[in-house]
Formats: sequence, structure tokens, C-alpha cells
Amino acid sequence: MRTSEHKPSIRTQNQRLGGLGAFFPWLQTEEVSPLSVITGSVLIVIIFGLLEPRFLSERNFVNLILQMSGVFTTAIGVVFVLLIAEIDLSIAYVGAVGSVTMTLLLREGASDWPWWLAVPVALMVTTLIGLLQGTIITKARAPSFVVTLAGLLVSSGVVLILTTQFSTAGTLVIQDPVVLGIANSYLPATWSWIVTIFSLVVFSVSLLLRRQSRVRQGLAVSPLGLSVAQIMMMGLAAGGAVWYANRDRGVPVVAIISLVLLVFWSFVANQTHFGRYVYAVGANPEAARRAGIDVDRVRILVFMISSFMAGVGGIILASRLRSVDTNTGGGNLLLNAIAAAIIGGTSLFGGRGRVYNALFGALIIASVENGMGLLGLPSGIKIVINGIVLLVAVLGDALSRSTRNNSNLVS
Amino acid sequence: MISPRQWAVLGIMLLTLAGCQGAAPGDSPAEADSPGSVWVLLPDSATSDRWETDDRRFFEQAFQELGVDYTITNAEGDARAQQTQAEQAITAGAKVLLMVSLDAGSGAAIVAMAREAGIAIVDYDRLTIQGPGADVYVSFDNVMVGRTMGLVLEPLINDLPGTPHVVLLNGGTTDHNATLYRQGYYEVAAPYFERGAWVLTADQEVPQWDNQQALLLFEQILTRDPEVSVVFAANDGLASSVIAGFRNAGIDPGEAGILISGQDATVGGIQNIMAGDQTMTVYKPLKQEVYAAAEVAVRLMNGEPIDDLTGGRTIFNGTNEIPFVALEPIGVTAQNIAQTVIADGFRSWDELCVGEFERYCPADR
Repeated sequence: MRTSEHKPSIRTQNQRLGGLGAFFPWLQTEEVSPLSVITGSVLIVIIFGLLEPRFLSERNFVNLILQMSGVFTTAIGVVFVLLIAEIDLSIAYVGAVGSVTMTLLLREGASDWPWWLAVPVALMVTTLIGLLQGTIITKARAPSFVVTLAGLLVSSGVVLILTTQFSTAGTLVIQDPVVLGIANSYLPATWSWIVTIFSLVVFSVSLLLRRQSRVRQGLAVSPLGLSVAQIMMMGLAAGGAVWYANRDRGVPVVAIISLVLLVFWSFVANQTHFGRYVYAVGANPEAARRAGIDVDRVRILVFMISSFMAGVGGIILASRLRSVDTNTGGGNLLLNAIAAAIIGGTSLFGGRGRVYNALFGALIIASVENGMGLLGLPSGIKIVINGIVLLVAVLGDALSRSTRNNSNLVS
Repeated sequence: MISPRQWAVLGIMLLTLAGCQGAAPGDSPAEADSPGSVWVLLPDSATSDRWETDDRRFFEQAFQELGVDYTITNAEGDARAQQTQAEQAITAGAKVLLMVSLDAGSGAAIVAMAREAGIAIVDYDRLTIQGPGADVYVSFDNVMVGRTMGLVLEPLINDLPGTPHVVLLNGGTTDHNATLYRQGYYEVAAPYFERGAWVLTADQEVPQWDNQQALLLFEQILTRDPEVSVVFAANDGLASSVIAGFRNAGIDPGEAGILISGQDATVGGIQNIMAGDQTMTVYKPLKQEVYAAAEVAVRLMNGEPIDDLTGGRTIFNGTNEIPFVALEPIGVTAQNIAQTVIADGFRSWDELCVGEFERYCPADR
């Protein structure tokens, strides 16, 4: 307890954000990050749009959706892991194990499995790897950094073995039309509108229903006009995106898949007991344990989620490339997925973050890569810029955390 | 007075020192007589499928035929690991190192290490362009590789209507060979760019030859210039990313008459050529390269001359002229698949004619 005469001024979220805090209720919560990522996204759009007008074209918009899909889905799993203050370094190569397994099972003239067997089996394999890693981390009390690093190495070795063992060239081509369709097909225009309107209706209904239940329980609730405005903004954004995409190739199927997963995992994180437990374990594991939460089980399940989503991301990436090879899982995927979750606002130290962080983070990373690719920048400069973007994002988050702390009376 | 305990410690220290003296490396007579071995330092499994799937097995065959002790290691893209492997080689009694360097700096360091240990070092496939250089360079004429791409595509490009838009999609420049390939096809294309007969849309390197990166980069190049009609892709992996990029943009490269080059004659590459999506690939008879390198290694081990292998040819590594055993690459198109890669046993119809590619295969195979 402070006893000095100088009391720190209480600056609420509302006052710092000005009117915006009143307009967007979720900005009044702990995280200011949505504001900084939105600002960041707008800045990126403006800068690249000025430098190369084609950045704003419909075609590039669809490109961007396709290019962010792999990182986005993987990052959803990363959010869960970061929420419990752990790390999973194996995601890129575990995803590769998943996609290589799927491709091997799909091979015509060899195993020749149908896609509806190959894909779930591949995802089961990756989830089992997550189960294994999670179990080792909790039962052996080993640091997740080391265990998942071992997972990274083992998985990369397995990828190498599988790709060289079952082919004389190390590259396995995917021929199954459904799997290829995952990342390479688009919704027909009418369907895209049906899906959009349907989702909007569901979103509005759930928003209003939640509002109703809060009113019934006597909790504070934002004015009705605000909720309506939220729905309208969401509708405008979704409608605009769909209209824009339809002017090019249409809404990519992979976008629908990723968004469905986003909604599902957001629901799990925000509306289920398990989700609450995850946040509790992340904020204070000891307190969670004393509250009766099975911390070990939560941890294991989180690592399973991470590996499962890594598998989904890996399959999406393989579908995009239409093949897997000895280099699958390499490159910047690991770094980008973790950076996406953090840039989107998830804290490295646990307890803070939302699943939709993955969306904004992946959007920022992918749009920077996309814009730089359009400008034809040399590789060295691109790498430097990527690093700077990550640094700025992390600094922004650190700064907002410190000002948030300063606004507390009791330190 | 020195206590008994102190005597004991002193005694142990003296014994240890004596033991160390006895075990000084290179002193044992057994080592001086042993013929030594050849160590092959492969770079990685990621930038190209060839190292683990082809080079390794051909080296095993070659060294077994020549009756030489050998060890083959792979640094998995880590330059420090390669230096450690070189140290292990020297410790294990290697007389010759066959190195595929990961980058100029670490390559030069390993060359220096080998010189210090008094063993021979051969630059295999990749030239170390820093420092005094290795003893011999065994490789395909990599500028010739690029030139072959250019020479095969040149008449086809000139047959295209209008002004062709050309993209150079190069390998990552930490691999010096990527620079040489580009030199080769740029040599052929430069006069046309200068005249304005062809338009250079992009001259882009793909770091680490990463195919996923290549896909993203090419998608953006295509967005910037939708009229790309020619792509010099530095290898088959990059070519497949280019094809995927065109497909994602709704263009069928085969139907649209897009010209795409490649290298390595991988299964995927040949399949793309059969299907008409890729125009050509460069076949480097790896078996020839491996056997040539193995022969050079054995000659160096026995102190025999290698002039008949180099033909007096040298290559400048930036500091010195290095004796160069140069092998000739072969251009492969849809017309000569059977005569080249199939006839050599490098590829088989069975592995190529899978699934949707079955219909492009000759009926009598």
C-alpha cells in the first residue's frame, strides 16, 4: 500500500481512448491491443497503397487472404499456448508431419486413401504429437521450450525420412482434387453472399441474446444502439470484403475454413469452462490449482490444440503449394505464427489475449510480406523490415502494459 | 609438510600429464600407416532433393567400387555444424574432404582448417568464393546450366506474340551456384532486354530456395504484372511454385503457353514437363559428377595427378585459379525425356507415370 502524498492519477481506459472506448465496448477491457493493431493495419494499407497502388487491388486482396491462411490457422493454436505462458516451438514441423502424412496416404497407385480418411488421420497424428509433448511437459515438469524444441527436431527428422523414403526425389505431389481445393477453390458469388448474410444473422442474434442474458442477470450492458452499430460495422466490413473478393476470384474456401475455426476456438476460449480454466492457469497457475482446476489436464489439452491447429495450417500450406517436399515446415512459419499471435495482442507471459489476435497478427505479417513482395524489395531489406515490424508491435504492447499498470492505485 | 592428501593430488596430476603426453594426436604409428578415408560434407536436405536422395547413394556406390573408406555427413543447413563435421573428419583420419559449402565464409574457414591439418579439400558442386580456395573444384559448369536454360528457351520466347514479359526467379545467393545459374541465363537474355525485345519484369532471388517463399514472391510478381509469359526458374522446386502461382491466379501455364525453365530433373519437374506446364529442365547427370569427385578424391589421397580430369581448365574463385573438373549439363524437354533421364536410369517411367500423369506416358514402356 502506498502511503506517499503523491497519488498516481487514475486514467481509465475510457479517458485515454477518448470516445473510441465508449464506441467499442471491448476496448474497455484489459487489452488496448485491438486499437494498436487496427492502427497498424491502417498504416500498412496506407503506406503500401501509396507506394504501389496495386496493393489495394481486388486481386491482391484475395492474394492476401490466401497468403495469410497458413500462418493464421497455426497462430490460433499459438494463442492458446501463449495464454498459459508456455511456448510451442514444434508447430511448423509438426504441421509438416501432418501434411506429409496426409500426402503419403493420398498417393495414387500406393496407399490411395480417400481425402476424408487421410486428412482426419493426419490431424490425429499431429494431435497425438501434441498429447505426447503436453504429457512430457506436465508429468516430467520439463520446460516447454526444451520439450517442444526436441519435438521440432524429431518432427523435422521425420519429415525428412518420410519424404526421402517414399519418393526418389523428395517431393510428393498432391493430386487429390478435394485437398487441392482447400486452398485453391473459391465460393461461387451467390454462395458467398448466403454465407455472409447467414453468419451476420447468427452474429447479431448471439450478440443480442448475450446482451439479453446480461440484462436478466442485472449486469451492466452497453446501450442497444451501440450493439446495433457493432452489428452494422461488422456487416459493412464483411460485406465490403466479400464484394471486393467477388470482383476478383471470389471468396477463397480457405477463408471460410479459417473463419469457422476462429469462431469455434473463440467460443471455446470465451464461452466454455475449459476456456476460463485456460485463462486462469495462464494468469496464476497456483491459484487455479487451489481453485480446483486440473492444471495438468488444461496444459495437455492446450498443447494438443496447438499441434492440431498446426496440422490444419500445414495442410493448408501443402494445399497451396500442391506438394510437400523435404523443406516443408522450414522457412519462417514458426517465427511468423508466434509473431502473429504476439503482434495481435497475446501476451508472452500468459493470461492475456484473445483468439482473434491471431487474425489481426497474421493479417499484419502477411500484408507486410505481400506489400514488400509487390514492391520487389531485395531479400535483405525485407528481413530487416519484418524484424522492425515485430519490434514495434511488441514495444507497443509493452508500453500499453506499463501505462495500464501505472493507472492502478495499488501497486 | 605436504600432507598425504596433497601427495595424492600431486600424484594424480602428474599421472594425468604423463597420460596426455602419450596420447598426442598423430604420434601413434598406427595412424601414420593407415590409408585414411574420404569424408563427404553434404550441405542440407532442404534446398534440393538431390543431396540425400542421389548424391549420397552414388557416393556410396562409387567409394565401394573404388575400395575406399568413406563417411558421408550432412550439415542440415547449419554452417557451424559443417565446421564441426570437418573437425571430426580431421580427427578421424580423413585424408580428403569433399565439401559442399553452405556459404563462402564457412567454406573458406573449412578450407583453412583442412590446409592446417595438411589434408586435401575438394569443392564439390559449389565453389568457395572467399579465401584462397580449395584444391580442386568438381562441378557441372554452372554458368553452362543457366546458359542451357537460356538457349533452350530463347527460340521459344522469340516465337511468342508481342513483347514477352520475362521473370528471373533465382536461387538464394548464399548458394554461389545460384549466382552462376543466373549469370548463364542472363547472358542469353541481356541483349534482348537491352534492345527492348523482351521486358524484364522481375529479377528476384528466393532466400534458401524456399518453395513456399517462392510461391508468395511469384504471386506478388504476377499481381504486379499479370502479363508474365516467361519465367527462368532456377530449379524444379521453384518452377513448381511458379506453376502453382499461375494456377492460383486462374492461369493454366500449359494452355497459356507460358515458358518455364527448371533444373535438377526431379520427378515433379519431369512430370510438369510431360503435362506441358514446364518447358524444360536441366539434367545434370549426378552420377557422373559423383564418380568424377570420387575419382579426384582417390587421386588426391594417393598423390596422383589430376590433369587429365581437369583438362587444364581452371576457375577463378576471387583470389586464385582453382583446377576445375567441369561436367556438361543436358537440357531436357518433353521431346527427349526417354533419351536422357530414362536412358540413364536417373528416372524411371514407373515413378513418373503416377495418377494424372499416366496419360502423358508412352504406351510401350
